[in-house]
Amino acid sequence: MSARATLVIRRGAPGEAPREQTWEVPFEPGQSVLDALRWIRAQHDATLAIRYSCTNANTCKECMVRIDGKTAYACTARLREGKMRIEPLPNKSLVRDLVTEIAPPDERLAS
Amino acid sequence: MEGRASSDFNPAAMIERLQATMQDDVGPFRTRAGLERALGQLRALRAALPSLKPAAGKAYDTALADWLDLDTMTRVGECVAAAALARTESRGAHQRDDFPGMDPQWARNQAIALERGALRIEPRAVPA
Repeated sequence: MSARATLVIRRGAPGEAPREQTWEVPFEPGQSVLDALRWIRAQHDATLAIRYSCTNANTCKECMVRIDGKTAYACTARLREGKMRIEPLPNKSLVRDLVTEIAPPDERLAS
Repeated sequence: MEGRASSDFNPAAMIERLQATMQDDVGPFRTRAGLERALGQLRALRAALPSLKPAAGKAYDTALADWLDLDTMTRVGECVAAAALARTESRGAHQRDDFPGMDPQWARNQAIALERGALRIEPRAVPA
């Protein structure tokens, strides 16, 4: 029998009122928060915006989010039973949902 | 692919199914039946894609990014599976359960070209 985590995810784009959405996610001990976010996208809502490239190797360093008020990589943070609050980084400008602008200014594409 | 209305089309789920197809039928150990099954699924998915394209608009549009990935992933998967089906021998990481052993006739490359929407495969001599 698998455990269940309750992910409360802050969503929204700049200029919108932020909203929270909650998903129950089954997991095996050892699975990462990124696993849960990917599961939510495939099972429920592919429009959830998350940023990652390498998938759980912690090499791309792109999946930084706020987990229960602390900055962490979603791919190294472990899921646990109960409620986990996932939010975008508070000190970076918001792109959408959990994605923030993390590239240094001179490495960004011109917009 | 089960029949889905485009409103509940989930490109992230479709990528997982595509990866499972490639893992199950186009891994190192291959058979004609498995490769043909994979090609059938890849081509059905490719055929369905145009009508499922999400409308663009959102910032960091993950659904659209997955759809664009599916467009190239299905094409690459088709190239891999079609070339594996044509190569009726086993060599290195390409092991055909229905054609065990290397065949000296197959000491050659295969070139794939896209012509009018379809793949054309032809053997080529290995450059000296």
